[in-house]
Amino acid sequence: MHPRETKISPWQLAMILIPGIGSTALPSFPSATAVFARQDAWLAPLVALPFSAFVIWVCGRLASRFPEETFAEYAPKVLGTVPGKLCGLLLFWYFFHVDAAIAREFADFLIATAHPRTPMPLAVGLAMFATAIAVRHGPEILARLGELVIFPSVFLVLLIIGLAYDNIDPYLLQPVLENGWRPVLMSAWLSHYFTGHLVLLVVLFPAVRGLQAGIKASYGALATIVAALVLVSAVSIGVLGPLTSSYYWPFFKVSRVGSFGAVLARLDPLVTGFWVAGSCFKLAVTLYAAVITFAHIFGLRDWRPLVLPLAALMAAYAVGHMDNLVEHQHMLIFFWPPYTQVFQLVLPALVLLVAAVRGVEGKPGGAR
Amino acid sequence: MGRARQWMRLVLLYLMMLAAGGCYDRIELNELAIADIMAIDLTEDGLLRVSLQFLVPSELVNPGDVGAGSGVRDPFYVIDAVGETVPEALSLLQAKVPRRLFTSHVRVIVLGEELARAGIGPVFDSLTRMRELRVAADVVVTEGEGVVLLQASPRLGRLPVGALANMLNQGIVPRRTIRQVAIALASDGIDPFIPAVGLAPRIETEREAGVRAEEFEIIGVGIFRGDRLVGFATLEQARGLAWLVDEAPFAVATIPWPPEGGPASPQAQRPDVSPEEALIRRDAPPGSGPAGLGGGIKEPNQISPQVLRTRVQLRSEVKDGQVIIHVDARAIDDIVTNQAGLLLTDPSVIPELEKALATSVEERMRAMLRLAQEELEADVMGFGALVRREHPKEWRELRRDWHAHFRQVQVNIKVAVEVRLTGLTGNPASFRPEQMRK
Repeated sequence: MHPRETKISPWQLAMILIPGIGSTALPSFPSATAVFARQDAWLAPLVALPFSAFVIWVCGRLASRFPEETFAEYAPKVLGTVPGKLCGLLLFWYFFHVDAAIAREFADFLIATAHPRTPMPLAVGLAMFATAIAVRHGPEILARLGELVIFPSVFLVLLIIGLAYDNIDPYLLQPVLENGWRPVLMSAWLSHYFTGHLVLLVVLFPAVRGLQAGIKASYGALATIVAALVLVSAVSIGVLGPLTSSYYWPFFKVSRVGSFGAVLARLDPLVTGFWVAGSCFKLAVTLYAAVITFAHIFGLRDWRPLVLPLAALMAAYAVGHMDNLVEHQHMLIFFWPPYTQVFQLVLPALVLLVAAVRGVEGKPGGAR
Repeated sequence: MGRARQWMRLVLLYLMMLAAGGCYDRIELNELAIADIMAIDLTEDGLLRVSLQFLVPSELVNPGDVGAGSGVRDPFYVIDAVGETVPEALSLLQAKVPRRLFTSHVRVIVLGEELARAGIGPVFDSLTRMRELRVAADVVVTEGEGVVLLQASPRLGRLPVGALANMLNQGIVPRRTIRQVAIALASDGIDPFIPAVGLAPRIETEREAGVRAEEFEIIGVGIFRGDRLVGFATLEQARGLAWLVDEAPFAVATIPWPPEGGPASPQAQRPDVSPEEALIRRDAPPGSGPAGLGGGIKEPNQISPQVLRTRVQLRSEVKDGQVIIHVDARAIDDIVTNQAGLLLTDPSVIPELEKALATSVEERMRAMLRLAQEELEADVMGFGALVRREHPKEWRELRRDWHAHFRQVQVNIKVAVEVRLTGLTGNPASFRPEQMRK
């Protein structure tokens, strides 16, 4: 029952990363970025692209320096036992916190759009339970789930855009850079919070067959995600214009706008369905990363028993750590961008730098 | 794996199947009261009266089967409630409806004139925020109370909402959805406009007592400044607006021939026929009937084009604080009436005709511009937004006092009409050769 019995292919890695990062970003993304950049919000993911690519590069360097090991395993070797374990705990906290935030956002969306009378613990709890069951089966199952989710989702996104085509007013995207680059940079920072979630790779790379191909696949996944974010942002702004930042889930609103005559209209129940699927998937991937990190900090041989308790803790934290959607949105816009950089950029880059300076390397051919 | 565990799994599986049957918040179709039109009016005390028209599904089926005298009931009914906000009124309305209100299928939202004059901004917060409403729903304003529209009983279609939505879909005047109005409200340099709909009595040969016979009628466009209704554009002016916002309809706009200021009609100068004689002689100008019977057709010398395709492009220019808007309109026309008797088989006549048609289109736009710039001072065309897009730097100066600048905006209109078809006939089929004009 060792986690590294199952390995995934580079293609499967991409199938984990794309829905694992893009799924919750798509409906909510332009809302937050449009707060600063307004009609230029679609530029934000492009500006953030180099930073997110840097995250992949750092993760890739770390993975090739310490093959077959995850962050929590090599951090103590690099920084010394106590600081290393602390860094591992920090990373674990990041995954834990992000997962709780995703669960919270998932429940908020579900309750706000479709099920107003459903209690939040039920929504979060059910999602977490389903997620935990998937995670117990390891990364390969996640990849297969991702493959299941991604193609209908891409089709749905394109369908929504196609149906809303009549309502897209490109004028609403002008004037480009009305207030210069500053607001766009602010939004790019926000955007990087989403794409910087690629730091998942410190946990996922060791499970990939063929590291170099895996790195390439990650860059491909990043490009796909950024392209999707740009497209969805541009369409949302083209349809909703100055209303984009007012709506919490602009793309969901876009799905309610479009129609193909009387034949095909009102796709929003489908969107809600895919939101559930996509969010659960993202929850699963992040939960997996949290569990693995936690297990490796304490040197546990089998991480499976950790899954359900951690999922329960996350669910409790998700329900309890915020009072309302306003707080969540405020946190997302003003607190998360600087906060998450610590874990996405600083932490891995620091470990890589120290490892390079001290010349620490993992055993060739795997740690165990 | 023990047997007990297998049983547990089976039980769990069945429990999950139960859950698959519906979600926590499910509600059955026959527990819903489906609304299709919402009207919002301002009461005298400054409260909102929200009226909803509900479908009655059982009355929708087979009206033909109902025996004579049993009285076919309308498949809809209207209930209203008064509250301080739209959702509050809706929740009070719920007290009068036995099923759960369901507003997701509201297709048209009617705003009463009083409310529109007081300001639609507050209402639009509810309209965009409420979960069930769709932002693609049409918005219309009325002259007078909005709820009156819910009493219409159009003959075509069982449900008034279908008739109204279809009517708006014809594009007689540009239609506006919640989304578009909300964008205009939230944007710099553009004022909203909303189609205005009224009621017109239906002509019925057999008018039964007590049968309501009111049809919808598009009467023009409500012009807003900010969120307040400041006036109505007539149907004529609204068509000019349609051109200016590039949503020109398949409309027919008639011009006299020869155009005003052009050379006089050769027929009028026919030396061999005196007017009196012309009334008797067979080759009198068609349609110029005897003066004693009302003087014949008022304007017999008309040419009517049908607009097939249009494209209007607006460009702005800022010169020393003076805003100039260049309107470049192109249209492809089909001639559907040539009662003026113009020789349409002569290619050399087409450019002249095109010029005359272009002038008439420009006139329509000018009429709308006069209304917007001089009378109402409402930038419903979005000239300000255009300047903002194209000259963001100058806009920063202009935006502070845009409505004052808007009055002074100079609009250059260039219209190019292309007459591509002349209907199914060339020369007027019912005219004899000597009745034609060159």
